[in-house]
Amino acid sequence: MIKTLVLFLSLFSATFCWAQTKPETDLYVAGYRNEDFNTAYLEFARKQHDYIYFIDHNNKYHTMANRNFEKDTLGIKTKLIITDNKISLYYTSDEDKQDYHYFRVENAEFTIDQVRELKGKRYTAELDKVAMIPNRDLKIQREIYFLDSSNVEITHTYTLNNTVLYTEKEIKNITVHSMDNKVFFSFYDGELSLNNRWYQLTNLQKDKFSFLHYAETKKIIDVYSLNSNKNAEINTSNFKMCLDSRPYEYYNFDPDISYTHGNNSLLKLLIKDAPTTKGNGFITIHFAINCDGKVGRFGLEQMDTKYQSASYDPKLIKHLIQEISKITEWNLPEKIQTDTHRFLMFKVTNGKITEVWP
Amino acid sequence: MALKKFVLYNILIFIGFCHSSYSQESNPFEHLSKEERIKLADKYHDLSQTVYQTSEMHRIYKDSALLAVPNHVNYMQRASYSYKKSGEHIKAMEMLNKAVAIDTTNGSTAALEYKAWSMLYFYRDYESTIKDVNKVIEISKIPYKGCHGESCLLLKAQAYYQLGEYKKAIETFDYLFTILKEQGVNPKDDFLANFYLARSYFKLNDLDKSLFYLEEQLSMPYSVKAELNFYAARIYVLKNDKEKAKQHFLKSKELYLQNDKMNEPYIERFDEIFMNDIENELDKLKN
Repeated sequence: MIKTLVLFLSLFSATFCWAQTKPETDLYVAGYRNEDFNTAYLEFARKQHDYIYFIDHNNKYHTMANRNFEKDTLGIKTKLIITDNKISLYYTSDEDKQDYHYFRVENAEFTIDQVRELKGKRYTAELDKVAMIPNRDLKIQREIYFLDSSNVEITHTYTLNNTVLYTEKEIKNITVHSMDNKVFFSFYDGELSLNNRWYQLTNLQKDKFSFLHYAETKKIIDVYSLNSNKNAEINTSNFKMCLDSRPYEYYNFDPDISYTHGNNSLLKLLIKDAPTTKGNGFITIHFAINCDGKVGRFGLEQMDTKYQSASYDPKLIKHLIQEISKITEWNLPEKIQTDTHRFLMFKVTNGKITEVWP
Repeated sequence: MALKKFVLYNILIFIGFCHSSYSQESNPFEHLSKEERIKLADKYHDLSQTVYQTSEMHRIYKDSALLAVPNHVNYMQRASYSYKKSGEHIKAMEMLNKAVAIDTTNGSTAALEYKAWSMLYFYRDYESTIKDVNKVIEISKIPYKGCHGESCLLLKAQAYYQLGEYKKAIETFDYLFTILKEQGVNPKDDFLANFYLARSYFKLNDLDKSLFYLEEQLSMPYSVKAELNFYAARIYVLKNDKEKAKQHFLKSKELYLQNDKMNEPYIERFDEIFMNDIENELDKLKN
C-alpha cells in the first residue's frame, strides 16, 4: 500500500516537474483595452528579449522597447507592466489615458483543418451573464451555429426554472486565425477591425470545444457542447450590441436614459394582462438598450422584502421581459453610438406588480 | 518504518503549504500595523475613484480597501454604491446593512441616514424609510437631521404620502416646518416639502388648501414650475374652471419645454410629470 503511494507521489512529482519545465510561448493575445470598460481589441503581442512586437489582424506589426518612457515628443507617458502571464501598457497624456492588456496564450495547438469540423453544427454554452449585463437568476445559453466558413448564427436563450422566457438571434461574420499553431476566432459585423475580440480555441473534441477570452480582469472559458437539436425558441428578436464593450449606465447621460413617458405610463403598459405571482418583494430586470434604441441582453434578480434571494412565477417574469423587449420609446441622446445598461425594478405586493422605477 | 516517515513528512508539508496559502488568502495585510492598513485602505479607495464605478476594477479596489480595514464603515457604504447603481441590490443591501450595523453600534447614524434615503428613492420601501428615519432621530437625538442631502423628515413625510397615509404626511410636514421656523428658516423655501404637502391635501380632497400651497410655491424663486402648474390645473378641472385649467396646463407645457421641471439623476421623483401627461389632460379639456 505504502509502496503504491510512494510510486503515485513520484509519478505526480515527475508530471508536475515536466509541466513546469515545458517551454512557455512568447505569444500574447489582446484581452481588452480600457480595463474597466473591457473594450474589445484585436491584436497579438510577442515578447522577445528587449522588445515587444505588436501584431494586428493584417499581420502588420510595430515594436516598442521593453521599458517605460517618462514623456515622448508628443507628451505621452508610457508605462509597461509585465508579469508572468500579462503585459499591460498604459499611455497617459494631459488629455487622455489608454490602457491595453495582453495575456499569454494557452498552449493548446490545433490546425485549421480540425476547425473545419465545426461547420454545419450547433454548439451551446451556458453563461453567467451576457454583454456585462448583471444577472443572478436567469439561465442564459448561447448557441453558435456554424453556417459556413464565414458566417455564424448566434442565439441567446433566457430560461427560468425550465421555462424559456425569451430568445434573441443575430448573424455574425467569423474569421479564424492561426498563429504558432494556436487557433483564434473572432465574430464581427461589417469589416474585421481592431475593435473586435479574439477567442482562443483551447479544447476541441468530437462533441465539444472551448473558447478562452478575458473580461473585466478575469480569464473566462466558455465550454460549448454539441447540440443535436435546435434550442427551443420563443418570440425571437433580432438584436445586436453596437459595441463589444461595457455598456454605459443609464445615469451617465443628462437626462438619464429612461422611458419617455415616465414610470406611471410604463407601469400601465407593463402590467396590462400581467400574470400574478405569490408573495411580496422585488423583481429587477436588467437589459441593454443598444445605440439604435432596441432592447435585449437580459438579466434578472429576484428579492424578498428582506433583500434576500427569492423566486417568483416564471410566467410573470416572461411577461415582463417580453413587454420590456418591445419598448422603443427611450429618450436616447441624438447620435448616440454606445449601448446602455438599464434596469427596471418592480415592487411585488401580494403577488401583484404595484410600482416600477427607478 | 522509514517509508512511513517519508509519507508522513510529505503529508505534513502538503498540509503546511495549504495552510500557508489559506492564511495568505484570508488576509494578506495581516502583518501590517493599524496605521499602515488605514493608509493602504485610503490608497485603494483613491484608486477605485479612478475607474468606472460599476466596473469589476472598481469593486476589486474597494474590496481591497475593505481587506485592509474590514470595518471601515464609510468605505463599506461607498462600496455598496457600485452594486446599487447597477441594480445588483442583494449585494448592495448586504454591504449597506453591514455598514449600518457597525456604524449604529458605534453610536453614529451616517450609514443609516444614507440607508433611509436609499430606502425611499431606490427601493420604494416606505415602511423601512420611516423606521430608519425614526432610528436616526432616536440615536442622534436631533429632530432635524439630514439624510444624504435631504431632511430626514422630508423623506419620512414622502414615505407616508406614498403609503397613502396623507394625514400622517401632513403632520410630518407641519412638524418639519415648525423646526425650520425655530431655526430661522422660511418653510416656503423648501419646495419639495411644500409640493408634497399640497399633493397630500389634494389626495384628502382638500382642493383649496392644495391650491394654496401650489400657488404659494409658484411665487417662489427656486420652485419647479411645470409640476406646480400641472397639479394646479388639475384642481381647476375639478372645480370646473376649464379656462384656468387650460391656462395652467399650457403654462406647464411651456415650462416643461424650458426644462423647468423635476429632473433628478438616477431616479424619477414621485408625481413627476411628462409631456404625455400634459397632452392627455389638454385633450380631455377639448372634449
